[in-house]
Amino acid sequence: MSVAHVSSEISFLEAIKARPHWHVVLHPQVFEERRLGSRDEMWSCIKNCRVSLRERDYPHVYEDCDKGADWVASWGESAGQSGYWRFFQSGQLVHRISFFEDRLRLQGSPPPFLDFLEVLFTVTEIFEFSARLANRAVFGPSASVTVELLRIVGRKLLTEAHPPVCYETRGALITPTLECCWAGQITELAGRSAELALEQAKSFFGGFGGSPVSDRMLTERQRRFLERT
Amino acid sequence: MADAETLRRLVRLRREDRFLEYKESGAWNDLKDKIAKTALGMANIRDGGTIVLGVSERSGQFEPEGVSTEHLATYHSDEVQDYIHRFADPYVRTELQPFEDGNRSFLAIVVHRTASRVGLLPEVAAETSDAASFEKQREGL
Repeated sequence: MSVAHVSSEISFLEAIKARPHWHVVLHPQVFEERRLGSRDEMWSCIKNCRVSLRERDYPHVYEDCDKGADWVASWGESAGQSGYWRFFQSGQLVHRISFFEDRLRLQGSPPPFLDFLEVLFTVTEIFEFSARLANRAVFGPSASVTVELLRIVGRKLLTEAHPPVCYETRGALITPTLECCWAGQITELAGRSAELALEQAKSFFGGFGGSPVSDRMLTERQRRFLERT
Repeated sequence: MADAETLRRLVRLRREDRFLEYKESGAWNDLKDKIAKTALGMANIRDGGTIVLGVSERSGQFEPEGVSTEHLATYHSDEVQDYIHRFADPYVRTELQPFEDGNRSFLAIVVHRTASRVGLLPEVAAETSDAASFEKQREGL
């Protein structure tokens, strides 16, 4: 690995961190430095567990990849989103990815909104991916899933009336970060990933003042999303 | 018990220290783990410490925005005391002191120093150690 390549990896990551983005951390609850075998096994975990429910997969494996003594990483642009993830032999995954809503930024200023469906679908993908890792025994008996929305001051939550019309449902956020966290047994993660995702998505909506649509409608939208497999 | 003027000075300090930590307005259920962790650390400091609720951090600057009435209502001294006690041995004594500065409300959680060093209960210590290892591993990412 050249110095230039390492430098490009770091500057790419720093550029994502400087912008509004998703920050996802998954890990077992018990730390074992060498929980996973080889780096090949780690690549295989990511590739076999990634979730492809739409034109973007989660997490995306980019052209730029790197590896260290106990981790593998990948970063780049896909579908207008910048992403970086690093997967450790301990089973920990750290993922930062810019908001899909920001792909059409004009004059450098991000659109001051987040789409509620984008939030629901991304959280659903994160939990589905975590469940698949859990099923491959990556986490051991228990795991933790933390999802943050960072640098979101001033953002509003948008929802649809009749597609593709969107309207504002809530006031702008005054908090810079929204975080949701789940920790528990992998049997629950593997068996209830969709419900857990729904709960976490609703907790994000709560940060904006409440869910923009009924629980029944959220469940229905998520069910249709998951059926795309 | 600290007097209100001392607590107001802590707000106006706008700088955290080992004995002083700010939290932005939030309900007890949302902040209890962070508060417990901070309180355990403060209990081992010579004069204890104070957690002040109602001060937000914006781009590295501390802003005394106050704590909302709705959030304030979720803090009950017995509940706070019991929750922190679940994690520590010996007992960590805390006091809740609501106070005002201008037209804004704040809540101080005063953490008293314990006579002997506070240790985490074994099961909590193990969890904390695992969490710290993961945190260290992802440092800088």
